[in-house]
Amino acid sequence: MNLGERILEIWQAVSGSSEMIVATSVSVFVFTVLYYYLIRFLVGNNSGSLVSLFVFTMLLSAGILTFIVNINSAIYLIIPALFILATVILYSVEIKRLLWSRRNIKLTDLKHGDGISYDEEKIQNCITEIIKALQNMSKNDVGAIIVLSTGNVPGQILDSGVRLDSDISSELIESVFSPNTPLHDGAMIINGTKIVAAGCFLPLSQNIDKIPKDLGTRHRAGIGVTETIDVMSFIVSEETGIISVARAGQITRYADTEILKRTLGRYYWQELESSRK
Amino acid sequence: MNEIRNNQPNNEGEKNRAKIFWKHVGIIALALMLAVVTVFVLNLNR
Repeated sequence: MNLGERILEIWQAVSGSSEMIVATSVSVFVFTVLYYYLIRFLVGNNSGSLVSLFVFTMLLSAGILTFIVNINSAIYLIIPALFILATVILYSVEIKRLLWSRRNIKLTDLKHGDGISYDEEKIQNCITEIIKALQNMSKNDVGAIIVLSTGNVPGQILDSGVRLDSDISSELIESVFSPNTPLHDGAMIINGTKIVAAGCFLPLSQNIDKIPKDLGTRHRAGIGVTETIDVMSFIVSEETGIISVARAGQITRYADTEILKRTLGRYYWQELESSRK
Repeated sequence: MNEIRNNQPNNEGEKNRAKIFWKHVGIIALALMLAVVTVFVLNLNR
């Protein structure tokens, strides 16, 4: 018996009868796609243990159901349905981030700052200006949030502030965040070499337990935006002048010139470049 | 700035891409196996 016949035989065994082969193939394809996205999502969110539990439960219950004769096997579908439900409940924030991801944003024409040239000199100038502004604000205890995006910030966040579309300069950044001015309380959104908007309201972090109690709403907003969207943010504390860098829901405090340079270098040379491909 | 650029390891990207590729192959294989098991169990009563 050759390999083709053998595969056909196994497939017939899975299908139950030879007439059901096409229907079985379609079902297998649909379930593969469904399970693929579920597992990929869980693996992407560091839930390897949940994937193991899922696979173990599926195989165990399949084994049990094979030996029980008088039972409707459709009951087996409860297990994947329960896991999908649990994933939606546990990862509602991540699912929101997925829905707001780059690919969807492109369709809704929310990409800003495109058509600008990313030449080395201009980028170096931007990095210097941002670092200068952050350090000046830190020295003077001026609170600030600056979000570095790749054009993936949703329109509703940009619309909550004032659209600027201006070049980056330390004077402008410091002016926006100077106390008692209308835009100083919100976040500034930067995309490439442009300041897209300022005075924007950001979603607050959901991980209340992970954030130290001495950090206020500004830090929670700076971290929160990185939890829901693939961006990074700089936060300057109003009380202490400490500069923090937030990325994927994690905060690094006491960012010195070296850390700022490295973070901005990574943003301009890697993330921005790859988002434009 | 050149310093920052040159500090990025060059073969790191290549390694990461290979790792991501094999991870996807693994996930597809796992998903396919579970799909076959599901369809097999669902066809048991027919």
